[in-house]
Amino acid sequence: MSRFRKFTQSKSFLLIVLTLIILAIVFIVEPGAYNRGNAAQLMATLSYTGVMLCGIAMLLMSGGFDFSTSAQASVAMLIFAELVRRFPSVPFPIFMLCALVFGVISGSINAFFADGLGLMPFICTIGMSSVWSGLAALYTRGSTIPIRNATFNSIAAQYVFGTPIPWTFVFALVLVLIYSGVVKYTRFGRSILMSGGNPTAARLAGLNPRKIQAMLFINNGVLAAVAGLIWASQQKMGSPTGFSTAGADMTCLTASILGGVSFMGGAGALGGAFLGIILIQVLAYSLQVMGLPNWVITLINGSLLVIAISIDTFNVRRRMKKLGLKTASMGGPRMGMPGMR
Amino acid sequence: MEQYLELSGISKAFPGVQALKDVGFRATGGKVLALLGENGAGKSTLLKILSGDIKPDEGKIVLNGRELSFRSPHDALKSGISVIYQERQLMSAMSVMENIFAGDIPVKNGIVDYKTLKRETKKIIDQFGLPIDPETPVMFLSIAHQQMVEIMKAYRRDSLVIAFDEPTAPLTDTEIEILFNLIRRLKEQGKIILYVSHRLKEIFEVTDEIVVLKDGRFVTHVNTAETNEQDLIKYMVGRDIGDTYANLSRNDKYGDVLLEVNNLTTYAVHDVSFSLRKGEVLGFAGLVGAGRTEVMRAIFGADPIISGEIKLEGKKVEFKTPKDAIDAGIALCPEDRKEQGLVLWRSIEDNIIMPFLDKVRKWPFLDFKKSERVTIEAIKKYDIKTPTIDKIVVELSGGNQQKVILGRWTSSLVNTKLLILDEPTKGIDVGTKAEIYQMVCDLAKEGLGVIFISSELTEVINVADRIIVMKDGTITGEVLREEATEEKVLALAMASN
Amino acid sequence: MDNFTRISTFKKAIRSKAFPLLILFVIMIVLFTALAPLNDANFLTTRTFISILRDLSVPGFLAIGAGCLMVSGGIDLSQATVAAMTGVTIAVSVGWWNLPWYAAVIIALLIALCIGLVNAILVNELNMMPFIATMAMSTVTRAVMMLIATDQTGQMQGSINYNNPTLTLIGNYEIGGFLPATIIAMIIAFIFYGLLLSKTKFGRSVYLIGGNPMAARLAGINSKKTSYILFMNCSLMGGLAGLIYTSRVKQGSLSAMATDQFTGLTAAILGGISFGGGSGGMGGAFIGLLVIKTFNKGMTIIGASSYVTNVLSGALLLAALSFDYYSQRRQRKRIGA
Repeated sequence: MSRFRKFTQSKSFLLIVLTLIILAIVFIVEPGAYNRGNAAQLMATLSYTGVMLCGIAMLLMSGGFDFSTSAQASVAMLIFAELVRRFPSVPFPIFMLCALVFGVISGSINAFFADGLGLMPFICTIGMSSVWSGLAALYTRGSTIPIRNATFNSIAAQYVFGTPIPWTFVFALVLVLIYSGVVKYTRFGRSILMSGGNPTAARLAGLNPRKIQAMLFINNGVLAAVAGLIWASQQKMGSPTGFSTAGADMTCLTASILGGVSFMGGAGALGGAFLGIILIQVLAYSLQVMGLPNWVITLINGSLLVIAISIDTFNVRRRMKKLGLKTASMGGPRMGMPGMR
Repeated sequence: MEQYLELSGISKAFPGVQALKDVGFRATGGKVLALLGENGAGKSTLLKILSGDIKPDEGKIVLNGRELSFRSPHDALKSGISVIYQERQLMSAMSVMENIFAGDIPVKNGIVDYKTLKRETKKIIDQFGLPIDPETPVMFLSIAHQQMVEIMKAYRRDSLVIAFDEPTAPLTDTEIEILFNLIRRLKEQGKIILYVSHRLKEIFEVTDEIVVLKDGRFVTHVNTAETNEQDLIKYMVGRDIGDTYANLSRNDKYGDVLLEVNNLTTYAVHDVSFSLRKGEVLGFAGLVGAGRTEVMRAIFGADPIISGEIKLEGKKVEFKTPKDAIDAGIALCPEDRKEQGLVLWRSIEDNIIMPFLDKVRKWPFLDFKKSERVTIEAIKKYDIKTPTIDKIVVELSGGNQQKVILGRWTSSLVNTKLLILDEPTKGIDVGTKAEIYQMVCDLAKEGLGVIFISSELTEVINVADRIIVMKDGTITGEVLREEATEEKVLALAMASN
Repeated sequence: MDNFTRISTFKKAIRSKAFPLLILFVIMIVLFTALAPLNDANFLTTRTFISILRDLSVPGFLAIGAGCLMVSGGIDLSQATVAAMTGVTIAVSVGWWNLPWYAAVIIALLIALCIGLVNAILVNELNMMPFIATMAMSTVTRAVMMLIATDQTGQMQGSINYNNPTLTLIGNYEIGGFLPATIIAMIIAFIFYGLLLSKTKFGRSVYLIGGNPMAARLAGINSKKTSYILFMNCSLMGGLAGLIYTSRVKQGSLSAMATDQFTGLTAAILGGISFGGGSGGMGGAFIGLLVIKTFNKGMTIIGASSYVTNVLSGALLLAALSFDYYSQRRQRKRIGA
């Protein structure tokens, strides 16, 4: 099969086509929406979700997930904002480093529960999410912390040579490329997929699935902190709820599955996931621009995840049926005992 | 220098079972050593110890003079021991080549070298002579090819010791031939090869020496050329088993036709017809994967039927769910007791009344007095070893677990007419096996029709009154017990169409 | 002499996972009683306990629904959102559309049931993992709630006031002037579901399905039907919680239940309904909830802010999970499985 034909049958192609269709519809219905401000704002959203996506998609490939990603991002940027407010004379990059260190710590805590103790990643990160967002609310009493450092605030406002593309978006894009390179071309990347696909087989082949996943939890914490910093720079403040109201981690989960990262671990395509997040954000933004109410956007966000999973399951089943193979149970109502991985 | 692997004094106990007791033998390079024994003889445990999956309680493993101890399966691999398990351990969404090279993917400057990976995989596949594309995800391969990929994994590692655990079960004749050629080639290279199989024919074809285990103990170590099937069977089963069969008090009065299956076809079996009379024990023999379980699941309403009809006591029946079948008086003791038969973490009582919750009801609640009575009846009838009725089943031994299932289907709550036993003696010690055989005969005397599926030939031809042999989803023959010999049944089970 | 009869109920209770919780509960009471004077307050009073029980009644219904579902091996992360949605629906129906209160309640509970039904379909027919499916449904439910809370001008309201004395009375009626009726309702519900799980055919099949769905199916138990019932029941319980909440605060709020998002779940796990199903019961869930709420109340009385309570609710979930994990591992080790 030629490369081109293979590409046209891939998920990525479908996602690109869908995105273009949405853009075309917006162009017909609301031509005025094509302006610089809108584009810049879309790109701004994509830059922090793109960074976050890298962490979440990698984690998914190893069979884990982190519901506390948004909360970690919030706490990280609050730490940064507070430190900048308290010590305006100290150069801020030091505090950015502090935020990243927080990411390492919070990621390690998740790793401890999920991989050290062997609890289900989905559930124990829900607990951590409450802890972090609770702490954020406790410290700020629900209010935001303004950032008055002009240099930091201007980071997100730097655009590539007069285009509406911010450098932060380029940063996210580079990150996606680096991580997909890691997955595709390094031994570590392949081990992630192997340990997600069949931990026992991976263990028998001498890999350490728990250690691999623990590293990805930490990676996810750090990337969440980076995403938080980007958001803080865009909004010129730290907010305890900025991320959770946007549901950024759920968006990343949906995008990953849309892009072909299986939520059961294993198969992975980070580029596809990035296209997925572009599709979701373009869709959400277009609906907003066209004046559709908020609930429609929320509804589409929720149902996209269900639809993405259904399509995924259906495709595998169809292909296996064609080959006359018995389909393995894909999930089902039983969740299995915790700690028995 | 001669390569050798020496095991000595290996013991391993699981709760309630002494799986291995003081087992030792020596395997030498350039020879294929068969590990032979009945189910539960300890072969699998031995292989798991060799692969570093479980730790022995006692004993030494010495490879070429070096004593080995494993903390993980990886240690065993590094020491040069590869075990190919029956349960395939593949990463189904990943390509064939990555499965084969898992853990040692070739890299060039830190970057995965897909060219080399593909080339090397192609080389291995070509040596096997199979039409497999290195880049296909393994979930899209046939089961036989998946098994071959599993074997390629071990072959690729170039380990000094390679152990095969029932490698031929899912394979077709073509692949078996390929596998045997491979084993012969490995032998020429001086590898130490362990080969576990139930199939005596294969053992004579491919092995040089045979170690026989029985009930977790070493029985004998013989040269394949100097022995024969009869002797091996004698070693494997011991004399007392022959007596057990002879002493069985059987039923000889059959009643009317109970079950009639005509041209049954499902996704896994094709055009299966047979009948069973009341009081008869009908054996089903065949290799693993021959479709015996699938026939029973279809009769029981657990798998959809594509065509064909089932008659129970002369009336045509159509079961949509297992519940319909149970209501009609059919009982199934599934092949995998722990996965499909029992709710392991619930009590004996719960497991016995499970299908008959309706019948132990005193509206609106359950009738606990009645369920207690029924459970105690079963415990007494089958001599289940337990102090109370609410002991959780997972704490019982395999034999007692099987008795719980038997107790469930033969309790006074139910009027079971047809009892289907799928591998009822799997993983059960010899003493309990004999008890179960007698129970089967007793139930037949009570007028039940019993279908007895077993992969152990001796067992099925000695317990059943009539034996149906299956292969690849179809029935290849039928023999009466009086005329049945292992050779005859095996020939039918392996018949080439 | 063994005659195979049961272990006595007393022994069973002591061996159960909920027993250490009971001890913890007693320790907490002693501790808070000792610490309360530091904040010039008193812990050991009837008022405190009535107030704890009152705090229990809303999450109590959540715990019942979530607990029953978890015994069967399922999980529902959309329950609290369903509760909030029910409250908003009732407030909107009464406050904006001027429907009679009973019609409002029926409509709201029907919508809740529908969401439960969709959850069950996603899990049983499309074979999705329950927590993914219900997490997505939580978002969908939020969308439904936002739609309902949108007024004629197209503006979405964060909270909707209504004025209906009957409806308000449901959550605020106090028997004899001091004992809230909702407490009685919650206790009756706990007893009802407790009996349902432990003494009836349905309850037994829930445990068996939770323990091994495949074996249950081969033993003729209709696990699909049970799963449907439990998912719908879980949402319905969420709906009842929302009804009581909305009645008590006299308004429907989009952010209702935010702090009780996972309280039901935490209580169930804490009380011994382990992940993967097949064990635990309503008694344990009740004690779990009691421990959580007593802790919260105690913290308030000794002067901790409500934000601290939020942090601790997450920590408690983690503690419950770890505890569950350890008791399972100990059990496994004991039998060598």
